[in-house]
Amino acid sequence: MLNVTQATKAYGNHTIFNQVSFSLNPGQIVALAGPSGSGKSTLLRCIQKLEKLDEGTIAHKGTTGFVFQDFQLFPHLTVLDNVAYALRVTKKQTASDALEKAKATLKLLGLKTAYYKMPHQLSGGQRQRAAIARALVLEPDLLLCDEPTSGLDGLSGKNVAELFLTLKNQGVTMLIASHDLDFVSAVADRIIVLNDAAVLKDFMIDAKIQGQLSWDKLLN
Amino acid sequence: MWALLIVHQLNAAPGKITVGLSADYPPFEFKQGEEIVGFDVDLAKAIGKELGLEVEIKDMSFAMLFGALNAGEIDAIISSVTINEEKSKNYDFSAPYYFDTFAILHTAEKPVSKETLSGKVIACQMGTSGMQTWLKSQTSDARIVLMDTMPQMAEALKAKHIDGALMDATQAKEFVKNSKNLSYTIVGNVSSGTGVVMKKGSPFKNQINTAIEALKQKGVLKNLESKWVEGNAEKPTHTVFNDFLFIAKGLPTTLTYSFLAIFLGGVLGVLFAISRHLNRGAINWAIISLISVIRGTPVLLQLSFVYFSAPSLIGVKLSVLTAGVLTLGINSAAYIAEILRSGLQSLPKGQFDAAQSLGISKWHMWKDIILPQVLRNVFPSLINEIVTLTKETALVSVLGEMDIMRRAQTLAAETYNYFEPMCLAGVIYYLLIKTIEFIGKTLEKRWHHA
Repeated sequence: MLNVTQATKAYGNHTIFNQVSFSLNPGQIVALAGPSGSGKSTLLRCIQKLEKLDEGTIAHKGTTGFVFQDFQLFPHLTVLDNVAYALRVTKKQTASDALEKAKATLKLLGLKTAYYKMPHQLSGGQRQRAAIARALVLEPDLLLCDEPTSGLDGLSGKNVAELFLTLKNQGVTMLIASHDLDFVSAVADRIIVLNDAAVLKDFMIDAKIQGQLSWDKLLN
Repeated sequence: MWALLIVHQLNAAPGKITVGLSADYPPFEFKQGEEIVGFDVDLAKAIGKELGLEVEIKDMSFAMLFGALNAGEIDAIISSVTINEEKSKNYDFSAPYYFDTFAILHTAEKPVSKETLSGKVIACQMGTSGMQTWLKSQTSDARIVLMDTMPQMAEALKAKHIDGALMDATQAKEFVKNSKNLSYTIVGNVSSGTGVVMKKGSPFKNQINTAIEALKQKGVLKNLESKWVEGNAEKPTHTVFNDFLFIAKGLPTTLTYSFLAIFLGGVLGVLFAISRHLNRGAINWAIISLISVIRGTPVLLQLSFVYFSAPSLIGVKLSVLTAGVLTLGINSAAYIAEILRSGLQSLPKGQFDAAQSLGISKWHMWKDIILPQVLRNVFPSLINEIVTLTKETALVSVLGEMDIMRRAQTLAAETYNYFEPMCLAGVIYYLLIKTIEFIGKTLEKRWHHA
């Protein structure tokens, strides 16, 4: 469903990634792992068309949703309006339809009590869920998540893992940029390791490997 | 909105003559309540009657009159202008209709005469080059200070900033009548007299001369002199409360300018800020230049430029309201754009990314996501700008608009008392500004609770 072919990106002389290729199958959670600065986030941003590739192509049929590392909820809107807004203006839904659908999505993500709160009144984990709800409510074919566990404590991280598995069971395809190997091994079906601007490894995670991932092994 | 701010065609209407004057010079031209009255006003009407022309009177500050004549804004100046050679080079004068003598107004304890001018600081009204030339011919080392209005000169005298004020004896007499500490000394006879000023080669010149001659023959000029100069005209009584009400009536005018200018400034300011943010070549460069010029020049200069130069540059005459709102609005836009730009710069770039990722259109993004946040962040600065602009509307008083400031000035001229009307105007401005600030604070609090 997503084909990245020989994608190359540089800022001036600094190469972010070079000749990166991979493709995704629907219904999977795929982790884009690598040390910080390895180009994971930039690659996600290119897939979302927030930035342009210098060379190569990204082919994708369907829509994408993006969950930012720092969430980027709209601070002047309630949680409910954060989620409902795009439905109204981009999907041209009536205000009441949009609110209803937004409420249903927030409920699914366990934010039933937070409809009318402002983003700054939420905990880190709740903000994460609100940001996911905002992306999911538009029913994207592919959900892109940038470092979903950064800034969350261990418990919230575990909750996010459970949430992602639930979403996967409902058929959501996800590409997750992360350097949190515990999280990756808990949720991902496949791991693509980026290092030194290139794909270093790309393999499926089965029960045998689960819990055995370490940066030492991945990078050597 | 602009359709309402009438833009006139340049051609003067037939059967009508527009006369400019500065209504702060009693008994020749001044305000009694809402009405402009005085020797020159009656003279203008009498001339109009003789010629069968409708007379329209336009009031503006004295220094602006000649610019208005050049711009075709008015056909003639009848505002106690002394006939002199220098002005005759650039303008046509009618035959003289009134002769006065120069006098120096001074404090009672420190008289200044023709013989003791040397080394003194003497005030003249701006635009009275005849008096200045005379003064220079008398002594080479008196310092001349130019001031806008007669009452300002009298106040400067009382405050001892100047030693004397050169003016017509008629004026000096009135000031002395109204203030115990002042006195005056007649210093010279004016042979040239006061005349009507017109553009060089004006079609009105011969007609007006004929009319003045006829009025002289009929004894009308003599009657005007005895009515206005010898003090036989009725004088209304003043109380502080009445004066306060009179000045406060300028509030709607001040608010109209303030409101329309803020509206225009807000709309343009947002467009300027967005286009600077998008940083697109030529447009951006043009806006940066405009903002730079606006921030780098006085508003008064901008206002005169728009009002007097627009007719020759773009061929349309702008009403005072249009010129005032345009100037103040564009001026404010420059400041609002900078305020918004700083607000935009402090907004996380991720907000744009988030809106784009949700497929939100540019229009909706700016309207509902970006601008509301920026406005909240810079709201206190915006209120400051509204306050500044509201105070700056006082500038339109120089074009004769009866705002709070101009009302205070005309009252000062009529009563020969500068201090009280200015204090009253100050009180009104202060209350207005405090109200704006209060509304601003209330809105801000409401947002923070939301």
